[in-house]
Amino acid sequence: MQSLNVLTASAMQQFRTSIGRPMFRFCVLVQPIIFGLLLGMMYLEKSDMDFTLYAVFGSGLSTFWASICFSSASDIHRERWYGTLETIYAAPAGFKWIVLGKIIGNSIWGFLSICISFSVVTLVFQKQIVISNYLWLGIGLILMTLSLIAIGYLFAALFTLSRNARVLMNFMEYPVYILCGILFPIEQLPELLRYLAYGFSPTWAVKIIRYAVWGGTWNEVSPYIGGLMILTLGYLLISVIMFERIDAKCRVDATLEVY
Amino acid sequence: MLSNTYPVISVKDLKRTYSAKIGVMNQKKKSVEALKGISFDIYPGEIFGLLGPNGAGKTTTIKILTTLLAPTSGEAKVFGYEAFGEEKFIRHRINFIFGGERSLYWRLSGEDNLKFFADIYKIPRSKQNELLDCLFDEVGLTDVRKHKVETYSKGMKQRLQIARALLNEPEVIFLDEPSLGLDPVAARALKKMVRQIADQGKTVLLTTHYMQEAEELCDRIAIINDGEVVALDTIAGLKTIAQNESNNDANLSLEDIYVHFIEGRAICKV
Repeated sequence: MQSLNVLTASAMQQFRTSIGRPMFRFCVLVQPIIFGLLLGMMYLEKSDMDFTLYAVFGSGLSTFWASICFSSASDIHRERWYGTLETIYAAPAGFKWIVLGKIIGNSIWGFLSICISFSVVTLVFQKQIVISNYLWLGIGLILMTLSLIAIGYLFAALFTLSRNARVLMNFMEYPVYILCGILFPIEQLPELLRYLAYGFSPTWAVKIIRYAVWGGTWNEVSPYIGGLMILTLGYLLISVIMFERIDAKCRVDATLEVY
Repeated sequence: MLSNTYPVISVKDLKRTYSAKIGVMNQKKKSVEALKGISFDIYPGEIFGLLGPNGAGKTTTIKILTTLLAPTSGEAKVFGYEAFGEEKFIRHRINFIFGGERSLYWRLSGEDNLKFFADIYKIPRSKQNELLDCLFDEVGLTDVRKHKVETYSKGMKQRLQIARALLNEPEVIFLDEPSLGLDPVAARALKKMVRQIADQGKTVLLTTHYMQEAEELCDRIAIINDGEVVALDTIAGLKTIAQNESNNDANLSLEDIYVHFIEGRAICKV
């Protein structure tokens, strides 16, 4: 029960703190509108299905990803500057649980950004939104959210270990837009890059959502559901191992402090 | 009073070296020895002062003892447990405040801050309301408990930090320059609170640059310079040593004693 209290307290604390930051507000409230309008214009002349997939869900997923990069990952860096990293690190509740709660808190806002872009694009462009299979859509969105939480968790572990991981955060934002089929089909990429794309879970989530829009049988969708679950579990496993090692390593390397 | 009691904190030949990379293209590794083998014991109920110039190793010592930093070698024990390796037996029994206005979430209210810290210190929610009422009252922030921390003055933030540090009813509190930047009134209020904490039987390890504060509060003082303890005794004991060494019978203030040990004599390890 107390572990659940820790998770909810940490999620609520992050939920409130994050939205207090102007940059985060821009990321989850304004950026979905801009991305939605931009992608809506780009896909306006395309089929309703392409419009739904890239303008509606693509804009939402890209802002969700941006919020993961600029919140879940960089929050560790921010806590370090606030001087709260040491306080939460030494708390008896356990650092890994507190960080997980924070990432869940941020992801709630990230999910909201999908809803914002969905609403904006639907209202502004008045195009028909095509969803052929709501079950695949539900599964895709839920698994994608869990997967992005896992990625945020992995990033948080890296940020605790290294004060220079901020570079990684900036480096990761655009490659995911390009590689994962969020803004255009990955089939347009060179073959080698397509293999690389399958190392990122958003690629698999986009595939599931694609089947939700275009329609598809269980046999067609299940490999992507399985792949996304395996990748998410892989991210989680690596995160847990890293958090176990962090406990000693960040104290040896003195990375909890600003300097 | 101390010799027949087990120390609550025990530090023996503690060393800590930091490594840093210098340069951009041709990076070179540089090592800085922050602690060069310090030793001291702190006993239950003591207010123990750690004085020294900037960069002397005070904060490094506190960070090791609060389980936030690993020692390079030597022993750092709290309640008989190693601060590095047995921290799970220590963390719920201690708390700490580092100087300045950090370690709080400024965009949250004082109350939301304490509620969050109470949860991560595993204080049952059924007890939290009463505890928070009591702590806000104790630090004099009841009227502003629902205000955002960013609207607090420096002194108010420091008092909120004290409330945070008392949430888990710690047996030992580490205060690293708690009065840094406070005005005289706020500093006096802080001293009163530290005294009250000690009166409750808690052990306090205090670092400060303010000699008057150390003189008023500390039972014993260790003076640390360049990573080494250069003197350790009660204020009266330090005074006697300084008087004998300088052949000066004048009534020395703690500042005189401090300057004597930092500048006025060759380092003699204790």
